[in-house]
Amino acid sequence: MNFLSKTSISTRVGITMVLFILSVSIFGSFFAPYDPDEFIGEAFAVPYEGFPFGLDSYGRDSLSRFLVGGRYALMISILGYLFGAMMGLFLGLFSVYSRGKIDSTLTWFSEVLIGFPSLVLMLLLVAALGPSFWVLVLALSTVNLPRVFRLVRSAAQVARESSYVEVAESRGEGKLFIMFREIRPSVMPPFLVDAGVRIPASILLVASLSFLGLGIQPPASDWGLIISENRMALTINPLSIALPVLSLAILMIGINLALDGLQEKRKDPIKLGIE
Amino acid sequence: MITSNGNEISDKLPKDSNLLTVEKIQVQDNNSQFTIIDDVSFDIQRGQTFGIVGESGSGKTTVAMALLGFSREGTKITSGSVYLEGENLLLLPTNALRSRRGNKIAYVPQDPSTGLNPNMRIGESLREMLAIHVPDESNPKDRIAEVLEMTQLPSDLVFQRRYPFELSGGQQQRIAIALALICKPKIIVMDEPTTGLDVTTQSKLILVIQKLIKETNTALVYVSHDLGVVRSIVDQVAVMYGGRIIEQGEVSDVFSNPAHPYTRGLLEAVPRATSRAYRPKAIPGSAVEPWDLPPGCPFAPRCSFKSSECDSKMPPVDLLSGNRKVRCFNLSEVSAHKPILIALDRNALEESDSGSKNIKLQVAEISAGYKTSRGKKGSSQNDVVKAVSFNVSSGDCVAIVGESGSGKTTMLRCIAGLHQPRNGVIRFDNKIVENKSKSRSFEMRRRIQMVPQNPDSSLNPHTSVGDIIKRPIDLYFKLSPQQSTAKIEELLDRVHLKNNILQRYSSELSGGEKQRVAIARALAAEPELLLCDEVVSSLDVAVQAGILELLQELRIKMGMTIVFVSHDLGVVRSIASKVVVMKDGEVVESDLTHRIFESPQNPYTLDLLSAIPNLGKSDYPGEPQT
Repeated sequence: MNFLSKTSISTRVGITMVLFILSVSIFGSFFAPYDPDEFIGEAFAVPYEGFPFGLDSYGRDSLSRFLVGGRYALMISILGYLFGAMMGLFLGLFSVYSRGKIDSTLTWFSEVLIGFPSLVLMLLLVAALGPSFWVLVLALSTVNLPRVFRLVRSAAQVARESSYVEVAESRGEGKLFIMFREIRPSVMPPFLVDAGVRIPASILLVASLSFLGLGIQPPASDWGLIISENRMALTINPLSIALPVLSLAILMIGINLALDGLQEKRKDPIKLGIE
Repeated sequence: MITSNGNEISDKLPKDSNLLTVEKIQVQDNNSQFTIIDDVSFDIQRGQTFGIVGESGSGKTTVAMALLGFSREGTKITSGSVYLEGENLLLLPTNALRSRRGNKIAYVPQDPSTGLNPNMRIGESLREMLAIHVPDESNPKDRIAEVLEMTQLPSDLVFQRRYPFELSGGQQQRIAIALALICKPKIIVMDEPTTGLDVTTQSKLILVIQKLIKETNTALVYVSHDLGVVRSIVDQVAVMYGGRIIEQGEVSDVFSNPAHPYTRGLLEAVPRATSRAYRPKAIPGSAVEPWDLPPGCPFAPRCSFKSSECDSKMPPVDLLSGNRKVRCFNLSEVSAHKPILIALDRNALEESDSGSKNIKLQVAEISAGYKTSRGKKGSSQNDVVKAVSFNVSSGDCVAIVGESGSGKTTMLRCIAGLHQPRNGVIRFDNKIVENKSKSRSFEMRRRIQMVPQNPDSSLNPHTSVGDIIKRPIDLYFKLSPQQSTAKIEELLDRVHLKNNILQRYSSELSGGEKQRVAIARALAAEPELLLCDEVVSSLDVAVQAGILELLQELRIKMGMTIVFVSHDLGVVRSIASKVVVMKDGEVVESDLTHRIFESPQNPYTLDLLSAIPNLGKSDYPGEPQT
């Protein structure tokens, strides 16, 4: 791949880590040896033959529950981030490009949305619309959108006033060209750093929502739920939560490595500011 | 507190006559990968003024800082010594060194807006400086008032309660000088103190500095890229290139009879507001960077006198008569060569008085300003351009000159459609042009192109040079990929850039290269009118001359009409055929260039002309022959 050959080793490692966890979460259910909802034996049983990770708080197979449990929470978090971030990016650029009334109106709306605590806003939406997959994605997007918007807007201000944008305007370039080709590149570094913080935060939010009983409902399997259900047995069978914890950790590190690498694609030559 | 070693050296050497002696200082980066300055030696007597000139990157600021025993982050002084009154500053422990700075040797930074603490009232800054270095000063209040008066600032308490941002650029710079003066140092190091100021402000500040130096008998080290300013201030001058002093001596001597090819090149490149215009000559190639210094003479790759020796060996310092020092192997050949000055042919440069050419651009009664939102509803316009009218004939170059705040850039932005005039009409080829660039026709936008002021912000740092130049071609013309590649190559050729620049980004280019790319981008649209906003003001003289040559070439070869905004009258003299002088938004005088320069009618124009620190008539290369 041309794209990958240009990137550093750590980026490639990061991308591999992310792809690995994503494929586990998507295709894992095909490899689950047992029915994740089947009660097999004693709760918190330590690993024995056929059950390499032991049993969970209800005596279900830990491995099977892990393989099935990555599907929804992860998809919701990532889709919820992506939708929110893309809309935030677009509206942020549009707002900065348009200036004046459009800018102040959009900013006002984003301030109002940021005024609600994330969890409260999500609870409101989920309570009103019911806890389905797409409602959760929508709720998470609503949380992410104004925050990304605000970041993009502040990062884009400098580029908006630069003379290369003026030159483009006097050349007669269209709105979209100026927004995406001239202004967007200078927004990307903070945007990517923000993504590295915001994707993990989104995963956490979805997990918290499950914990609160909205979101993914037991007995359905979910990595956030597995951790919360089995945490009291940490000393008896730590392996029952090892898999989801490790997977989440690998995912977070992978996301951050990949995003770091995307930023360092082009570096300025040695500059000491010598005069 | 001085190490025994340092004491021994300083005792043995007869340094008493010199105030400051610099011996073979060398500054390298922390990993010793490259040498920023090397083998720099000079000495300064009490009350003497010493200038350091050179292009950016020549190491002049590094030398200035090394005089205070300071090196920038990431660099270190690796060898050499700086004796101040017989005491080697480089061997002093940090505390002792700190007490010498400010007390004996003071520094005035380049940019006063960042050099002064924005959170401190100016009186407070002065008081603090005094309290640290001269705690036993009997009457600090009087001393503060005294230095303020010396720098010709108001000394009352109301003025002292102001913050730096409440002052003009010239006043800020005077405060910076007052801060340096307050502890009565023996020597002051000034780093480009007048750069960024208007000509009239600059000439006032130069007068202040000259007077101060004389009155207080303080020695001065003056670092600048502006040869005219240096000429008018200093006694001794050192010319730097590639981290070495390549020529040194009495300023009148060096400037009237330069021995080194680089000094000659620099002087030939300076545009002058002389009565007879001639074209400044650019030095070919670009300035060397510390990380790719050639093994021999740093100037060898650009030198037209170079011999085989120059490439392999660093020329030693030659001592000529009158304490002149030069580093060059081929002095006799250089001095035998007489430059040919091309006096500019007025017929080519300036419109004939008959005025038979057709008018390309007509600006009629344009007023423009910015909204001030004071009061609730009555947002009023604050006009910065007031009923300005002028005509530009096709193939002409009209220069709009004036100080900052004169409205010259706003005027240009009105023509470009980036600023909406409140009143007035702009006609292009006898057709009224819409005010907003958005409402102009596609064709009209193509025909008027702009080159903005600062090449650092006019090129998108995230777009490659190739894409930057290609975009207007894609937008305005439907060309096949082969055709557009051919056109890009033609454009690069026209602005004298090489093909390998296309994949690079603007951060990898030098100032001159950036400006050439910006011009190429404007030319890509095949415009009929080129609007240039201070396009050479941020460039070094040697580079500036190249851009001026390029613009001149565009006019003569392509018949391009140019509107050129500048504050530099020397630049205007060498390029414009007609000059519009603006002051406070109004046109005070507009005439053919030679008339403005030979017999200015308006007192303001006269002021502007007399404010330029010009090189003298006797200075190399002199006035051109007719």
